[in-house]
Amino acid sequence: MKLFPFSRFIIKDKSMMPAFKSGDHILTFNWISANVGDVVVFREKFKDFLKRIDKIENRQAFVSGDNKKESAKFGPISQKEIVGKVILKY
Amino acid sequence: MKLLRIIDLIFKPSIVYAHCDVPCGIYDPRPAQIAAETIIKMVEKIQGFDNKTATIADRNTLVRAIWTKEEHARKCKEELLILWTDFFKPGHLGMFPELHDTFWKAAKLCSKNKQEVSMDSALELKKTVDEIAEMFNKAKAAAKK
Repeated sequence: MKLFPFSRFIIKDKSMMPAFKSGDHILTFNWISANVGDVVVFREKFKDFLKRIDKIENRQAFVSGDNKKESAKFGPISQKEIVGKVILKY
Repeated sequence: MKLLRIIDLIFKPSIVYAHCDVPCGIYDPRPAQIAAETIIKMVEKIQGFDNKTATIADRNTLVRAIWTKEEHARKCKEELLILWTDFFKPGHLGMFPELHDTFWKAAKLCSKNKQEVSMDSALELKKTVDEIAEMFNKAKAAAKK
C-alpha cells in the first residue's frame, strides 16, 4: 500500500497529446490497481513518467504514449512501479 | 480545481515526463522475446487442432490462436524495429558486425510466422530474437563501463 492516496504532478513533454499537454497539472489516486486504458504515472530510474496502459500480461503492464509520433516505447512495468492512476487534469 | 492550483503554488507538484523519443534511453528486448514465445505456444495449439473431432469451442480456440499468433508476430516486429532504429547506434556495428543481418532475418521470420504454421519457423524466430537480446545486453554492459 502506497503512503499517500493522492499525488500532484505537472506534465513535461508531448507524448501524451492531445489528452495531456505539457504544462497540464494532474492528480493521481494511488490506492488502486490500474487497468488497460488507464493513464498512469510510474517511476523508472528515479524519474516519473506518464503513459497509458496498452496491455497487462503476467501482472506486468505494457505502456505507451498517445502521441505515436513523439512516444517512446517502454519495456513492461510492474504494478509496484506504478505511482498512481490519473483521475483529474486541472 | 482552483483549490488544487492554489495548493500547487504553495506545495510545488512533482514533474512527470510524458516522454519523447530523443532523450529516452529506456529500451528492453523482453517484449519481443515474450511475443516470440507466444508464437511458439500458439503454433503448438494450432498444430494440435483435430479437424475431424473439433467442437464449436475447439474451432473458437483455433481462431483465437491464429489471431494471437498474427498479433504477436506483428508486435515482435514492432519491438524489434524500435531496438534496431532507436537503441543500436552505428558504433555498435564494430561490436556486432552481424547486427543488421540478424535484425533483417528476425523481421523476415516475423512475416514468415504470420504466413505459416511452422514450429521450425517459430523456434527460429525465438532463437534470432534471443541473439538480438544478447547483443542488447552486451551493448548495455559496454555502455556502463
